[in-house]
Amino acid sequence: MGNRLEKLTLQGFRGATCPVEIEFEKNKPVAVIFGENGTGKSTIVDAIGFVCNQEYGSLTEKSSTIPKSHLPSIGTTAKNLKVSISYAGQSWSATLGRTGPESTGPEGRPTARILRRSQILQVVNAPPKARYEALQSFIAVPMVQKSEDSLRDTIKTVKRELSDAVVAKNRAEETLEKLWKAEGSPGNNYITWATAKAKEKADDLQANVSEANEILAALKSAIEVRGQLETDERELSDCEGKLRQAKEKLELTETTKTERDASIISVLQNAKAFLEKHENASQCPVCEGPINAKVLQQKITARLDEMKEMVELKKSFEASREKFDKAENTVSRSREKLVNAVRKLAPLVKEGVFEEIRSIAVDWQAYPHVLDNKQEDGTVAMTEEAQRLLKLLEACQTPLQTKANNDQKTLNQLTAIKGHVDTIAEETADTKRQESLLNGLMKMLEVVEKERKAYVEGVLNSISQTGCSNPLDTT
Amino acid sequence: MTKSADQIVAEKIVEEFRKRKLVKENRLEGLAKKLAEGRFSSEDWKLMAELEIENAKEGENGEST
Repeated sequence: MGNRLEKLTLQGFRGATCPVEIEFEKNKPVAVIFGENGTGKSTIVDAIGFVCNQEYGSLTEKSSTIPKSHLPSIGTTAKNLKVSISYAGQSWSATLGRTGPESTGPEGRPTARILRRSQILQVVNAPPKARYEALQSFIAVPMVQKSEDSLRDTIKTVKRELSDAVVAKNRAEETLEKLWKAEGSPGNNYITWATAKAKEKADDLQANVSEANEILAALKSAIEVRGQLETDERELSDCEGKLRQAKEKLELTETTKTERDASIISVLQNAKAFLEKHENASQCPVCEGPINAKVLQQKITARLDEMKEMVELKKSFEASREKFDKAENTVSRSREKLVNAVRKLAPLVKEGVFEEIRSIAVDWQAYPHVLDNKQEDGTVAMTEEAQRLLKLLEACQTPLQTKANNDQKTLNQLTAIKGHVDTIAEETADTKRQESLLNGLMKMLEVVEKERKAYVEGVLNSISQTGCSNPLDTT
Repeated sequence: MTKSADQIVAEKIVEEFRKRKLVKENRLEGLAKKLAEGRFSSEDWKLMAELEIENAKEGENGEST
């Protein structure tokens, strides 16, 4: 049998106008206090609560009273109020201080758990759901419950992270299996196949793809330049035709007119231009004879009008010649560009390792000028040589592009496989870690929950077994 | 000073952790107080569990070497 309340002394406490001392039987498991209404049963229980819990007791339930002023007995003051208990061989006392009950005594003052009739009635009368609330003040451990809730939240989070890791791992595995099946299911299983693939070195493949792409880019550029040269040459040829036509027309007109007329046009045009600039000239700049500038200008204009057709033809010829010269320059520049483009392409192809190029079997000695950077690069002969070489190299464009595409595809596949294999490894490790974490947290929750429930059950058992007769609890 | 219900339960929890060797001794210090005051957060639980896993791994490695 555990410790029991041994003695209670009341002095100036509520109805105890004279000092009262109650001794309890230590060897009895239950003490029953009974009596008529108003004989002091609640006062005894309140006195225990006053010392042990530093509370006013049942007075707090009466809204019309001020507990502190109703606690001292009639005819006495708060100074004379004192309650003492003896429990487990030790004693504690309480008086009424300014702020409320003040207990004194050794450490380990017992706590009294008091279940009042009003509370019992509340439990009995309450609907089932509200019964817990009625008992809550006895069994609630809100702070531990709060910590337990945090633990449950952590478990939820870890479960979600574990689920995410499993989903990611499964997804990577499914993708790998699809890739494996697309490859014809080689080897024992997709994991073995993927692991081996992931170990393959992709550096050589990457170098091949880069080199092929470089050659293809240079080839494409040279082909584009060649296209531009062809356009420019067509333009030149067109200009050449127009120039020839203008020349023929001019020559034909010159033969039908007097030769003098034809050659004097320039002289007359220059004289007209001179007179337009020197409107007040009075002297011929050639023979130094006196002239009337205005009259002379009119005469020259009239003569030039007569020779208008010749003038227009000459203008047209000059314009055609100008266009031709321009087109010729453009073609010349395009030829230089083509030679440069082929010069850039040639060494890439020559030093390349691709079977697709070797199969063309280029006789490099047949293109000495293009390969020699010191040679002048805009000549027709050089251009022709560059065009011949380009035409030959052009044959490797399609097979080389196909190879580059295939290599790139293989490279992408290897990269993807490696990524998925890595993901599986990472998520497997993460899954294990989360499982361990969850396991540890679940064990902790088991303890927390068990101890909390055990405590609650203990309190409820203590109430059901001993009722109010054993209100002290130092556990 | 009388212990509150939260303190009583928190101490029992810590004692059980100790008994079951769920948490290393040095990490049990102050745990009861935090539990009883409702200050043991989700992050605290996770960290404690992670440290215990690390601890267990180190123990396994130590045994194997």
